Amino acid sequence: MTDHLKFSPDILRRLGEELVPAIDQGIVELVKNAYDADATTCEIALVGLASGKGSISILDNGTGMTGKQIRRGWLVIGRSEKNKNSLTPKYNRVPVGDKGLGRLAALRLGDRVTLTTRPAAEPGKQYSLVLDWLQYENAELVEDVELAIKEADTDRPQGTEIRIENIGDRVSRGTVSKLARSLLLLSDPFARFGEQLEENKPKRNSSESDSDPGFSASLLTEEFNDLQAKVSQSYFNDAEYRIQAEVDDKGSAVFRILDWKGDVLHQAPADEAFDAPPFTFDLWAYILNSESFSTRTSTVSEVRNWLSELGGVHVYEDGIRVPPYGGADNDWLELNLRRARSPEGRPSTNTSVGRVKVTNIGGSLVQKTDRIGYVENFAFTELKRACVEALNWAARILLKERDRKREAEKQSKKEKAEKATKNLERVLNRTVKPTERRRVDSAIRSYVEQTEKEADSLREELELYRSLATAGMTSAVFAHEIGRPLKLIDSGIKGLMRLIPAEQQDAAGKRVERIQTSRDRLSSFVSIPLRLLSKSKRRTGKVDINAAIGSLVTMLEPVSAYYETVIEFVPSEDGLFFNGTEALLDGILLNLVLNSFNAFQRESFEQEKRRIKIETWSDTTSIVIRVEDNAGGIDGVGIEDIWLPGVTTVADGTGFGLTIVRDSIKDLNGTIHADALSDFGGARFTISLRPMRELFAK
Amino acid sequence: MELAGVEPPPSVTIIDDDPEDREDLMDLLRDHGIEPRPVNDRYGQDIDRLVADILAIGSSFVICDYRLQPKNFASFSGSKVVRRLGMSKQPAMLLTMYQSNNRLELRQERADMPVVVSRRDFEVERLGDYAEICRREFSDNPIDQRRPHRSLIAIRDIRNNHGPTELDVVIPNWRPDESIILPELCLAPGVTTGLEVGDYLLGDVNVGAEDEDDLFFRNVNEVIKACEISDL
Repeated sequence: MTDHLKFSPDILRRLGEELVPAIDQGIVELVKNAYDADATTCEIALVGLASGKGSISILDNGTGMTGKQIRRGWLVIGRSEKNKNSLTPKYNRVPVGDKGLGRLAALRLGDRVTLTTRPAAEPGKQYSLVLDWLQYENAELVEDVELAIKEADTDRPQGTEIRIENIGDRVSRGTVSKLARSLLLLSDPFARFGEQLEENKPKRNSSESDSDPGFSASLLTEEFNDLQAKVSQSYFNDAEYRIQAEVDDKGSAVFRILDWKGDVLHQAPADEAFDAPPFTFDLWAYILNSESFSTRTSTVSEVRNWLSELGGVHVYEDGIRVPPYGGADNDWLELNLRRARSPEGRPSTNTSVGRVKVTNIGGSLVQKTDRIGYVENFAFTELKRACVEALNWAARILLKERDRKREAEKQSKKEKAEKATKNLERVLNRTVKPTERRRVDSAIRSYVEQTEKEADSLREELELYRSLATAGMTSAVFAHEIGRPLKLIDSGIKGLMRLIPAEQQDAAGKRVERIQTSRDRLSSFVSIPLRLLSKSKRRTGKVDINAAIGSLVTMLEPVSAYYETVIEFVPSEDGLFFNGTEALLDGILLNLVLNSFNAFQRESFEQEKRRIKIETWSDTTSIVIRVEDNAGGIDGVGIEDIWLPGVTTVADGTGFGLTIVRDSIKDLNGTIHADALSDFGGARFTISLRPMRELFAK
Repeated sequence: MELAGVEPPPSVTIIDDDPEDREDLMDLLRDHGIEPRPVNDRYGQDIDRLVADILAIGSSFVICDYRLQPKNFASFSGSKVVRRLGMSKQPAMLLTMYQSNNRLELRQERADMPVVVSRRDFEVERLGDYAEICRREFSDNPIDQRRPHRSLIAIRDIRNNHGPTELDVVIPNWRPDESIILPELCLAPGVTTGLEVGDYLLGDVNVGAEDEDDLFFRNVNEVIKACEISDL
C-alpha cells in the first residue's frame, strides 16, 4: 500500500493570507492572471461592501480555461514560477503571474468563490467551479472536499469571471484606494506617453509584441476614476531635465542627461559593467517654482499634484508593475536621503518621477512570495547599483554645470560693475567742474565706504546663517541615519525577549519597556529637524497660520511632555492667512518656544506648572500672534539687547534664536514687540503680520 | 588610580529627575546586589529639605544626576546637592552627560566635588572606590589625582564675546602643550582686572588629574604680569 502526504485545511490559510497579507496585491495577482491569458481588459467590481456581505468580481476577456486547464493549472497551488521563456500564445507576452499564492489569498477573502470561464479553444463551451471555504473549515484534509467542474453550452464570448462572495468587512476603504492605485499603475502608464518619450531616443530592448493591443485593468469605483483623471495627464515635457541609464544584455551601461525635448545634453558610458538583466531607467526631474514655470502652459500646482500621485521610481517588469517600488513612502533608490546629504543636483521623490523598465526573460530577478518587491539577490542589487551610479553621475555633472553658471554670473556682474565705474568717471569728467571735482569725489568715496560697510555686515550675517544652515543640514542627515539604529533596537528587543525564559519575561518586560520608551522619545526628537526641513514647508504661498501653529504644537508634544510643560494654543475663530513660507513661521515660533523651555530650567527659578501660551487673532490692520510663558521673564539682559546675535542668558544657548526671529519677521514685513514680564508670569512676544489681502492689494 | 577593589556600599540613594533613568539605575544596582533608595518628591528651590531627606535615608553613598530641572524635580542642579552633601561629609557623586557647555560650569564647582562621572563611564563595580575617594577627601587625605599643588597658569587668550569672560590657559605643570578653557569665575575676585594675554596666574590645581574634566582650581589669587617676567 502506498501513502501520500496529506494537508490539513489550515495550510490554505498559511499559504494564502499569511504569506500574502496585502489584500490589494492578492487581487492584483488575479488581474495578472488575466494579463497572462492574453486579455486586453479586466474589470474589477466591488459590490455591496457597506452591507457587510459584499462581493468582488474580476472579469476579463482573455483566452479562458478548458476543464483540463482548470484541473492542471488553476486548481494547483504553489507550482513554481511560470516559464518566462514560453511567451503567451496570442500576444507573445512574458507571463507575470507566479506561484498562485497571491491568488489563493485573494480567493479566500470571501466565504465562497465561483469561477466561470469560456475557453477560446472551445467556442460555445463554458466551465464553472465553486469553491466553498466553509466546507474546508469542516473537513479534516484538503483532499476530502470534492470539487466539481461543470460544463455547459454558452453563446457568450471568451473570458473568465471570478466572483468572491461574502467578503464581510475584510476590504476597507483604505484597501480600495490602494487597489485603485495598484491597478492604475499596474500596466505601465508611462507607455501611454510612449511616442513623446521615445523621441530622439536610442532603441530599447523590448519584449512587447507589435500586435499586442495592450492591457488595461480598471476598478469600477469613484476612487479609481478620480485617480485616473489625475494620472492620465502628462507633464513629462515640463521636466527640467531627465536622467537616463540604459543597461544592455551584456551589462554595459550608458548614462545620459536629456532636456525636456529629449535631446541628449550629456552622455557617458559607465565605468564598469552591471550584472543585471537589460533595463532602462528614466527619471524626470522638476523644479517646482513659479519662476521655472513662468513660460509654460501647465502650472506648478498641477505638476505638483500629478507628482504626488505618480511620483517615485516605479519598476515595470515586462510591462507590468512590480510593487512597492515607487509607491507611497517607497524611496528604494534613497533619493530623499541623497538630496538631504547634498541638495544641489539631486531630485527628491516629491520633485521627480521615474521608471525602471526591465526585461526579465532570463528570470534573474525573483519576486518575493508575498509579491511585494524583489528578493534582494545579486541581479537586483546590481540593477539598483546601476540606477544609483546614474544618479551620482548626473549629480556630478549638474553640480559642475551649476558652478560654471555661478562663476559666469559673478564674472558678468564684475564686468558690469567695472563698466559702470568707467561710465561714472566719464560722466563726472564731462559734467563736473574741476573746482567741484574734489568735493564730489569725496562724497562718492564716503558713499562707497558706507555701502561696503553695509555689505560687510550682510556678509557677516550670511556667515552666521551659513553656520546655522550647516548645523541644520547636519542634524537632518543624522536624523535620516537614525532610522537604522532605531530599527536595530526594535529587532534587538524582540530577539532578546525570545531568549529570555518565560518565568523572567515579566521582570525583563519592564526594562524592555524602558528601552522602548527611550527609543520612541529619541525617534520623536529626531523627527523634528526632518519635518522642519521638509521642502513643502519652504514653498512660498498662502500659509494657514492656525493650521501651521497647530501642527507645530502637535510636533512638539513629546518635547513639551519631557519638559513637563503644557503648550496651550488658542487660535482665532476666523482663519488667518499670510503670504510666505511655513518654514519661516515655524522658525519664529520654535525659537520662542525653545527659549521658554530653557527659561523654565534656569537655576533657582521655580515653576510648579510650566505653561506656554500661543494665541492668534486679527485686529483691524494686522494678524497678531502672541507667545508667552510663565518662566519668570527676561532678566540678566536688557530688553533692547535680546535681539543681538550671540546674546543669551542661558549657558547652553547659542544666542542666535531671537536674531533669527527678528530677521524672519522683517522678511515678512511684520513687527515684534517683547515684554520682559507679563501678567502671565514670564516673557511675552507679540508679533504683528500683514494679512494676505493687504499684501495682494499692494 | 591608587584605589582598587574597595567593597561597594550596601545601599545607595538615588536622585534623578527622569523616572526612566532612575529606574534604569535602580535595576543596575539591584543586579549587583545593592539596595537602591530613590528620592521621588519635588523640591523646587528647597535644597535644604532635599539634603535633609537624603541624610535621613542614611545610605552610605549617594548618586545624584546633574540636571534636575527638565522634569521639574528641583530648580537647582545636582552639583549644588553634591557640594552640600560634602559639607555634611556624606559621600556622594555627580552623574552627568558631560556635554560641552556644562563642562565649564562644572569646572567652577569641581574643587568641591570629589567624584564626577559621565553616564557613559559609570561602573557600578567602582562604587566602593567612589565612596572611598570622598571619605579620603573628607579626612584631608585626598587621593593623588585630587591633591592640589600650587601651580603656574599661563594665559594664552582672553575672550568675552557676549557672555562671561573665559581664558584659554596652559598649566605647564600638568600638560605644557595643552590649552584648556578657564572661566573667569574660577579666579579670585581681586585678580580679574587688568589681565592680559601672556600674564601668569598662580593657583592650587590638582595636577595629578588624568583628564581635563577632573581638573579643579582653588585660590587662583596671584598674578605675574608678562612684563615682569620678560626681564627674567
